[in-house]
This record gives sequence, C-alpha cells and structure tokens, in this order.
Amino acid sequence: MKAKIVILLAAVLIIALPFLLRRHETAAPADALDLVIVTPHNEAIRHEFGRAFSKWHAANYGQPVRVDWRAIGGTTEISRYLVSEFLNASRPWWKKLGNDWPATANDSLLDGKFATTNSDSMSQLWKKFRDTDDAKQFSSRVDLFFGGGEYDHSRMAAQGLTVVPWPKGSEPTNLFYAADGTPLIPEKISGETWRTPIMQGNAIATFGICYNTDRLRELGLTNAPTSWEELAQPIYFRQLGVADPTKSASIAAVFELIVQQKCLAAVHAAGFNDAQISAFEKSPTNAPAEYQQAIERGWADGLSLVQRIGANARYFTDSSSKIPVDVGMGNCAAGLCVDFYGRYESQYANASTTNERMGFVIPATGSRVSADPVSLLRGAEHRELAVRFIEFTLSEDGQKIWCYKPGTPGGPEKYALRRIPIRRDFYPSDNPALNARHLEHLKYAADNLADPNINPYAIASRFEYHARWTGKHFGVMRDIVRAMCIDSSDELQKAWPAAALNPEHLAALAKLPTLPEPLTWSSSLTLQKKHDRMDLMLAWTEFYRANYRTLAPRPRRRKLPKTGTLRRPNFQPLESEISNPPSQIPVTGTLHDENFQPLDFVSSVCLLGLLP
Amino acid sequence: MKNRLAHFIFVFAAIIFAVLFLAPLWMVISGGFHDANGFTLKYLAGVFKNPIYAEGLLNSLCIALGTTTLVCLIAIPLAWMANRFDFAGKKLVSALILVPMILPPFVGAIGFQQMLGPYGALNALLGCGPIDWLGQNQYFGVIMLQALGLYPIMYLNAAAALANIDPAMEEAAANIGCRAWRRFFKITLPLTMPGLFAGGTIVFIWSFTELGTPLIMNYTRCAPVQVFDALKEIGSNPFPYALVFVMLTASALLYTASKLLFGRNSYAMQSKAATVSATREVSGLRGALVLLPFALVIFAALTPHLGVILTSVSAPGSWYQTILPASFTSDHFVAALGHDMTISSIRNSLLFSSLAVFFDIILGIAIAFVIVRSDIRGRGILDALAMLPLAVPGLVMAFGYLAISSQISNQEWVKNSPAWQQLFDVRVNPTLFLVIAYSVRRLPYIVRSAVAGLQQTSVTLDEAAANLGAGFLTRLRKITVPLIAANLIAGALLAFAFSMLEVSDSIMLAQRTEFFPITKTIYELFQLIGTGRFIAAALGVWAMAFLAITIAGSSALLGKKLGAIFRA
Repeated sequence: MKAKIVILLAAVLIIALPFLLRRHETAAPADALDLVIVTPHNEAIRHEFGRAFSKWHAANYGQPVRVDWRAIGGTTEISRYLVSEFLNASRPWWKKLGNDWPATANDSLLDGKFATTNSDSMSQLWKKFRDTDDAKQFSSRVDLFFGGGEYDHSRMAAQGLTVVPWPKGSEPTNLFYAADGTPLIPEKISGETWRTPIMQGNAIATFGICYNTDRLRELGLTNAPTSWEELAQPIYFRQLGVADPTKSASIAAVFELIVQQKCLAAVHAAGFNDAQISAFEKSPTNAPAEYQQAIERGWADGLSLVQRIGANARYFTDSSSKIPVDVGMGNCAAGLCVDFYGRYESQYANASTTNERMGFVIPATGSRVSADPVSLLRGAEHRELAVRFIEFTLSEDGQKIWCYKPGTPGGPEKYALRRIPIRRDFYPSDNPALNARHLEHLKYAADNLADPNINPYAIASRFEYHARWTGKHFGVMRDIVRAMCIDSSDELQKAWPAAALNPEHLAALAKLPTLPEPLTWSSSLTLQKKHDRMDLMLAWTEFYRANYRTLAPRPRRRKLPKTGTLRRPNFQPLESEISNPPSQIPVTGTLHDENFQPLDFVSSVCLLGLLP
Repeated sequence: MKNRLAHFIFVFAAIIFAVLFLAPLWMVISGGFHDANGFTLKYLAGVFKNPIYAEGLLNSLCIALGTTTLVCLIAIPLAWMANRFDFAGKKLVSALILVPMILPPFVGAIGFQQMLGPYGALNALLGCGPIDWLGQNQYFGVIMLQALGLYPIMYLNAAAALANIDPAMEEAAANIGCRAWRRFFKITLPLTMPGLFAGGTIVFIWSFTELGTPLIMNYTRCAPVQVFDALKEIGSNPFPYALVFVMLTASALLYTASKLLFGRNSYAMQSKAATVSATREVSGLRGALVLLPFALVIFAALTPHLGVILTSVSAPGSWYQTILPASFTSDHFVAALGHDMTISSIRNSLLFSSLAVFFDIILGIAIAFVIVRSDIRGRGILDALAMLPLAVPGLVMAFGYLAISSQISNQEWVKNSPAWQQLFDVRVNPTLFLVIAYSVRRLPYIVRSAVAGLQQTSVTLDEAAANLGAGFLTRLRKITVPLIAANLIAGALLAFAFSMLEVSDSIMLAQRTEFFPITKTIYELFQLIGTGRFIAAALGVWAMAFLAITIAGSSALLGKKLGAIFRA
C-alpha cells in the first residue's frame, strides 16, 4: 500500500510539474493573416522572425501575421516533401484539364534538364507546369522556403518549384541598391551566388575551425590552428570533427575552396602572376600548356590535402551542430564548422571557466561566404504576403533580427541569433552613408560586425575565386571525397599514421584512381558523363581501399596492453611539424607504434565494470 | 478456432497490413525498382554486386548475432533469478531493470559522451587521462551498447514466460530426482522457449536494423547507416531503397529460419502458475551474490541515462573533466517544462501512443490467434509479415506516410471538406497518420507477446469453456485474455514506451507546433544552439521519469495477478 501511494504521488508530481512551470505565450490576434513557411531553421529563428514580421506587417500594412511554420527536419526532408507535394498537386490539375498523366511524369516533370519537344504530352505538361503559378490551379500549400543553402534553392529553382517574386524591374526600391546606386546585396561575390531573380540570400554562413585548447595542449600543440593545412598534420589523427560533404553542400563548398587555393598555389609556383591568371581565365584557350598543367597539379594537391584532413577525421557527420558540441566537450581536438555554431558553442563552453577552453577561427587564407536564401514557391496561396516576407527579411529591419542582441531596439526579443547579415550597410564602408548605418548597427549587434573575421565582405576579399578551376567539379569532387575518405576510412586510417612519416608512401597515398581510366582535373568531367555514377564510385572506392591496404603496416599479433599503456601516448611534435606544411614533415618514430592500436575490447569491458 | 473466423481475421489483417504498411512502404522503395525506362532490377542486383553494401549487410548480421547472444546472456539468468529468489533490494532492481530501454532520442547521445567521452565522467573517475571510449573498437562498442539498451525486451519476455510456468512441472521433475541444472535445461528452458523466442527475434531484428547506436559510435559500415547516409545524400540515389528491400527480405528470412530452428517446439501447459510461492528466500552473502549481477547490469546500462540526468542539471560548460558537474542549476527544467510547446506535446504523445497501443492490442490478439490457434495456410506468412515493421528504417516509413497523406489530400473530395482534411491531411492534423505509424511500427511487440502467451497456454482450457457453451467472445474475455494477460501487458508496455520515443515519424509528420509529440519537442529544443542540449535533456529526463513511473505504476496498481511478471 505504501509503495502504491509513493508511486501515485510521484506520478502526480511528474504530471503536474509542466503545468506548474508553464509560461503563457500571447496567442496571435484573431484578425491575423496566415503565411505558411517551410524551413530547416531552428525554433529560435522561427520565433524571432515570426514575431518580428508580424509586427512589421502590422506597422506597414495594418494587420498582424500568424506564420504557420512547417518544420519537418533538414533540407533533405524538405526537398523530398516539396517534390512529393508538387507531384501530387499537379496530377489532379493536369487530369482535370483533360489530359493523361504521362508514365514518365514522376521522373521528368521536375527534371530541369528535360528536353522538350513540341508535340508529346510530357513536354506539354513540363511547359504548362512551368507557366502556371496560380494557387487555384495547383499548390503545395506552402508559400515560402526559408533557409537551407544556395545549392538547395538553386536545385529547387531548376526543378521549377520556385518562382520569381518580383517581375523584372519592379523590385522594391532601396532593397538591393542604396540611394546613390551602391549595391547593398551583390548578386555574386568570390564565386558565391548571393541572389538571383528567383532566390534571395538572407544571412551569410562562413566556415572556420573550432578547437579545444585543452585537447590541443595534450597533443603538444601550443597554438590554435589557423589554416586548413595544419589540420592535415598527422598529429590530429582521429581528432577532427568533419561534416559529410555528400550531405551538406556547404561543407562540400569548403573542400572546393581548399582545392581552389591549392590550384592558385600551384599556378603561382609555376611562375604565373595574378595579372596573367586573370588574363588566362578570361580566355582559357590562350593559356599556355604549363599553366593548364599547373592547375591539374594544384587540383591533385588539393585533393591530397582533403584526403589527409579526411584521414584525421574521427567521423563524417550529417549534423552540422555535432562538431562544435563535440569540440566543446573535448571529444574532438578541432573541427570544421559554421561561424555561428562555433562562436555560440565557444561562448557556452567557456561560460564557467576563466581560461579559453574553446575557440573559433576563420583561416587566414579565407573562407567560403555562402548565403542562406529565401524562395517563393510556385502556386503560393498567400503570394502577396509571402513576397512581403521576403522584402522584410532583406530590409534593414529584418536583417537586424539576425545580428542584434535580444532586447535592443528593433532586435530579437528572446534569442540572440548571431547570424551574419547579408546587407552591405551593416559593415564598415568607404561610402559615408553606408558607414553611418554600419556604426548605428554596431551599437546593438551581438558580434563585432567590423571584425574582418566576421565581415563577410572582408573574408571574401581574401581570395579570388576562379570558376573554371573547380566550379564544374563540384559534384564529382563530392563523390571523390566520399570514395577517398568516407567509404574507405578504415583502410585510410590504418595506412595514414605510417605513411605520414615516409614521403614515398605519402605520394603513394595521394595517388588518384586509375580505373576505369586515370582521374585528373580534366578527365573527371568527362568520366561522369561516360560512366554510371554508382559504377564510378564503386571503382574508385575499391581503388582507394586496395591502395591504402598496400600502404598499411602489416598487422602484428595483438598483445593485451599493460595497464600503463592503455593511455594513448602524447605525441611530442617538433616545432617544424607545426610550422611546416605536412608534406614536409620530417620522419620521426613516434607515430607508428603498436601502442597506437585501439584499446583492447577485453580491457575496455573490464574497465567498464561489466565483467565482474 | 473455427476456420471461417481464422480466414476472416487473416484477410482482415492482411488488408490492414497492405494498406497501412506495405502501401506506404512501396511508395518509397519503389524508387529502387524503376529507372527512366521502367521497371528494373539493376539496383537490387547492384546491392549484391557492390562489395561495400554486401560488407554492410554482413556486418549488420554479425552485430545482430552478437547483440542477441549478449542480450540472452544478460537477460535470461537475471529473469530466472528474479523468478526464483527473494533477496534484499529485489523490489528496487525489479523496478529499475526495465528503465534502460527508455533512453530519449538525441540527448541520449550526449549522455553517452558526457560519461564516456575523453573528458567524461568515467575518465575523471579513473584518472587515467583522455581515453576515447567511444572512438575505438566501434564494432564491439555497438554490440555492447545495443545489448545494454535492448536486454529489457528479452528480460520482459523471459520474465513473462517464466511467470507462466506451472511450478508443478519443475516440482514433478525434482520429485523424480532431476537435479537443478538439468531441470533448467530440460524443463524450464523448453517451457519458456516461446517467450525467449519472442524476445530474441525482436532483439535480433531490432539490432539488425538499428541506426542510432552505430551513429553514436560513428560506425558506418553496416546496412542501416548506409541506408541513412544514402537517404540523406543530396540528390537522388536509388540504392537505399533497394537496400531497404534487401534488409526487409533478409529480416523475414532470418526470422523464418530462426522460427524453424528454435520456435518449433512449444509446450503448452494445462494450468498456469497457480502457486506464487515458488520463490526461495536468500539472504546475507548469498543474497548479495544474487543482487550483484543485477546491480552491475543496471548500473552499466543506466550510464547514458545518468549522463542525461546530470546534463539536465549542469550549468553549461561546468561538466568537463570532472566526475560530476561543477555547478548545478534548475534553469533547464524551468525552460524545458515551461516552454509553450511542452504541455501540448505531452498531451499529444500520450494520445497518439495510447491510441496506437489500443489498436495494437486488438490487432495483435487477432493475429496471434490465427498464428497459434488455426491451421490455415499462409499463417506463417502473416507471422513473418507482422515482424517486418521492425525492420524498416523509420525515415523510410515516414516518407511513405507523408506521400500517402499528400496523395489523399490532393483529391477533390478532401480538398473541399475541412473534416476530411482534419483526418487525412498531415499538414492540417497528423493524428491519424501518427497513430497509424506508431501502431504499425510497434505491432510486432504485441503480436510476439500474444503469440508467446497463447503458445504457453493449452487450448484445452478454451475448449472446455466452449464445451460448456461459452461463445467465442465470452471465451476470449473470460478465459484466453486473462490467461495471457501477463504477456499482453509486457508487450503493451514495450509498445507504449517505444511509441512515446518514436523519432522519424514524429519529426516529419507533425509539422505544426500544436501537434508536436514529445520527441519532436526534444528535437526542436536540441536544435537551439548553446543551451539547447541542456534544455532538451531536461525534457528527456521528464519523459524518462514519466515512462519509469508508468512501468512501476502498472506493476503496482494492476495487482498481483495481472502483474505476475513483476512479481517482486
């Protein structure tokens, strides 16, 4: 009986607790207009933008807005969801017009590269679908896609799912250009597309390195990493958190940047200066053979650098937030991550300590500056309101939400979002009018917008992007990284510590696949067209696995390590290891050591106390 | 059972399966069976030709075998000891032994890392420097973590089966001089086989297709992670669908094979455990010796839970290189439980899960009847089919239900009627689809439990009642269901707890805040940068507490007879 009473009381307490702690939020007024937005953004961003837009709309158009956020996961889920919605919505519409639904429609309707002819029904459907933007005809019943990367928005545009919010020439004044004609939101910057007529970049994501100083100290490193090259040193073996480029277009863009920079280094090393480079890139047919060869070399160098970073990876994750959290907790020594995640986690990791436990840097050689856009979906039921939302997010009022401290005038209410706004007038400028606005924003911003490591215009100016070098290789490089680092990670990690000590092995490690034919900068583009993607990936993966196996030291009989050796040895790197690029790391004996083998299972079980 | 009724139930169950499970599944995996030229088997063949996928399947199989073996080694002795002995602390361990299965999603991983990470509590306790427990030996790590998370399923089924055994059987054996050891293998084990088979197959298929644990351990070379990776990939890749098909077929074949091997001989008993005093009291050192394995298993299995609980009360950044957090706070609980999403999500989860379990019990008993009490052809197919929902990745089912909902709600008759929209359009109200998703995915527990119960119960009891003129429903209500109640409760508890913790369906189908179930709220809170994981951990702790009290409560309040499985 006593037990029953205790259980009953506990149950009552557990159920009552949420009711006792409940906070009442103000519900949207009854006359509010509805707007439906699908987004991968988190609750903080949804809350602040929903609230701020409603307020802005009430002030400018007299009515508040209730944003109906549809949060169904990440961009993969959203993309599938919208494809499914559009196919299911257009089928009854097409049949109602008296047509048959072509058998190939599910595959071809949203294929941006579908070749239309004049007569067949599939072409008719394809064209008619793209000519129709009317909720009464068909609609996904979602108005906007907000957030996600430029890649996702471009893909949806190619699929025909999104439409232009403003007809050409009727864009709101003062949104894209200042009164004196200075661009406020450029269309392109250092290889990144920030806006097109169909999608509007909104906040910027830059990429950098987050690190845990305690872990670095244990590895014998005194300075934080400041370049991608440093992360390729064998001292970081199994210490890096890396995102999976096949699942995140933005991390794929970081790898592209690494390869770009290697191409530039190779072209410089071959004796070409910047003036020559821009001349040759304008008319590549005039470029001498040595110049092309230098790009080929640089491209291979870049992949080799990516390979070595991949060899140091503890994992390739699909979750962008996992890496900074792991670094903050000390599970990884360093990782590649987006600016706001890195800075935010650092703040929290350092909250209860006086020394800097975690930090975040943008590499000195620059970073990608990718935009998170917003796009209007075809057949939006609340089209007018949706277009106003786009206008709001691009206006100064909307941009303040991204970067102001909570509670500041015009800023967010509860959460500091700490995202980097896209508008030029938030950053230092030679233009006095723009700079005056910048100084005003600086007063309330959560981060120092004048910091050249935050200002995306400053970061972008650190390097010039050459589209011909890597632009078309974007897709194929992702597949190479997958085969080279992810699908063959076990073999790579067995080969890497030993190979790192031997220049010959290092060169062998970097060998590019020779099957089905030699992979080079120029062949990679034609290879994709000639072969099925899956066959190609398989051939590459098998090549890499086999290659790594030949480089791995022969397995020795594993002995149960003595208790004292369970602990991983600390590497004591030479000064030169830290300052030199990894290809020139001198041979030392500390790395290939059987102590390095993973902890024995039996000992780990015993230590966990599972086997008494 | 009359064949006409059996046929009716068979057809009814088959239709339900076809509509609620196979149709949404096919909507998604058909992507692996056609290309621009129509139907093709090239992707399916590709799965076998591709050594990477073949390796993944093989690894998954080995993980499943390893996990099931380890689970048996952990759970069967414990269940047996709980059944036989009375010892100090038994009440407490009986209440705690099931708790490891209720680890909330997302924050569970953080719990592991806080305890076992290089700067985690274990290393601080051992003082042995930053050993990366989760970063090496992933293969065995996955098996161990899975076994520690899944043994309650086996324990619950084994305990229910043991509770059903008539002590007279063993006493008879003892009477004619059978020794304890031999008695266990000759009498007890064969009599409990249906229960062990039920638990074992669930654990086997679960660990064969488990995604979460390999992801926590960063182990990528197994089929479920390969499916997940390919599904999450940018662009479209038909292979994951073909791979899901292979995993499903493999699960069905493995299930059928293990049924032929282990599930054949079931011995029904004329009477149930009429005497409850079969336990022996052990005290002093011997009592402690019995308690020790319980304590060790529970402690090891509750490690991540402890991590989640401590995370929920630690100030950000204060649990680092220390055994316990350096400073505590209740802020996360205030933030989590006071959040405007929380109350409605608790209500939603309770509603969706209870409805799903209710639906499962009815369908589960019906299917179990056909499997055990009828001899119609094809009942083996129904049996294997009922296990399949366990083998489908949650993400795939979620895509399937989303597609079905979208197709129905674009019909004119739905578009023009708010009432139909409420029912069929997940954008308007996802209740129907979430209940369907939960009940389909959790049906195997109830079917397996009910089948095990029926196999242990002699049909003659039912026949005797029929002889006396009792109708089918009366017999069901008065004879059969009470006799298998222990098994049903065991299955229903599992189904309820895991429905409350269901992830993929909840995240994708519940799109509007007012319909979020508790797992989606945990996910949303987890996404908040900085304090998110602490607040999510607090809500996770609440969910754990709630489920723990549900389990403890159902054992205490249902009384001795119904709660025989928890007999302390």
